[in-house]
Amino acid sequence: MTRFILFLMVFVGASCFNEPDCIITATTAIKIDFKQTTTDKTTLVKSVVDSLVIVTFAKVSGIDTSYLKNKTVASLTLPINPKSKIITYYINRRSLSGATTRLDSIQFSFAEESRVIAPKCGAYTFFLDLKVLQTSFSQTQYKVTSTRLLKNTTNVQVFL
Amino acid sequence: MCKYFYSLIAVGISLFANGQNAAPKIIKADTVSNRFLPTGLRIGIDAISLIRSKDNSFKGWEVNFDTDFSRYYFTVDYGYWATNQLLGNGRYTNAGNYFRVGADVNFLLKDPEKNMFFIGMRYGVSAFNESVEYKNTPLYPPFGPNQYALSNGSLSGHWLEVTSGLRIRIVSSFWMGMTARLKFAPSVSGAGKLSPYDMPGYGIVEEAPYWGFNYQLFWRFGWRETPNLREKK
Repeated sequence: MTRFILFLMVFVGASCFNEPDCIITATTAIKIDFKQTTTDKTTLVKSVVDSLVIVTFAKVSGIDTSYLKNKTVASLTLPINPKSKIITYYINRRSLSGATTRLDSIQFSFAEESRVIAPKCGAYTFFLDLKVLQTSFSQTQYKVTSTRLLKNTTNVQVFL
Repeated sequence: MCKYFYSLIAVGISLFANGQNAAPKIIKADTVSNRFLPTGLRIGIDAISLIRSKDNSFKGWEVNFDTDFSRYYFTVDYGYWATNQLLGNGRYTNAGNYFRVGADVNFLLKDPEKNMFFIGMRYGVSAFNESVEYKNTPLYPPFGPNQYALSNGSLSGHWLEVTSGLRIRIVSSFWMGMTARLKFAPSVSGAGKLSPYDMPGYGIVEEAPYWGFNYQLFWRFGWRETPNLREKK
């Protein structure tokens, strides 16, 4: 009986060595959401909703050409340069009515950390400690919502 | 699959509990006065580490020691663990030594062969280094692929384990055993930009709890008769 238990436990024990899941959440992009505050006329309750803007161009420091041109968006996913610890974005936007055009800039710094996910998945650099160094937006106009650069995660909300 | 392991332990405990119905009578013989004196030292090696060392991606060994204090066993494990793993986008290596200290409680007191079914606790300590080389391609291709080479030169870590297993006497002083380890509460200090991945003695640091398993071969060096802890029916 004891030998049978011994045999059984070898197989049960060996089965516990599971391969981890290959889920890569790291990204090399900063996601900026455009928001606006609206007030319900009857209840006077304020709420934050997505705001569509026409981005006539968005430039990334280190790249001469525009990253994107003439797009109507509620959020921007802008690439970072992993070789640099600081990146600046220039966003030229126009209101939907076309009445106003404005060029804004925002400069970020970030740190990095390397992680091995699993042998078959590989190793990835995770970017973290995202900070706004300089910006043309006022202090009340933006909010850093996540300091880690992860897929499908908003890093900054800009209130228009 | 691991849930079956818990079931197995539960079955073992229930079998033990059944055995208690007989209300065994404690012997008050001359063994009482010195029952907490060790009767021998068991020295073992981990066969799984040695078998895994045949593969180029792992090199390691582990030695195990235990000595009895009545139904309680003081245990010490000492080992070496080095991996060289090919990643999907690079290579990871580590190497280091570790030890565990702890105690087991034997639940097979009536076994005439002195076989053991035990549950115990361990505290593990590891000192190791690790390095990784890999390539990442950024979201925006003009920034070009990045080659990374990072290392953690001197890391130290510790963890806790709940253990369970068997020790079976095969012939004379030769024993075989197995130990299942539920490792938890890992902690590593001394890391730089590389997040610690594989801690010798523990395994994947980011996974807690983490399972471990040893299949051990023991030689027991006894220096006195083992006292009977319970009278046979």
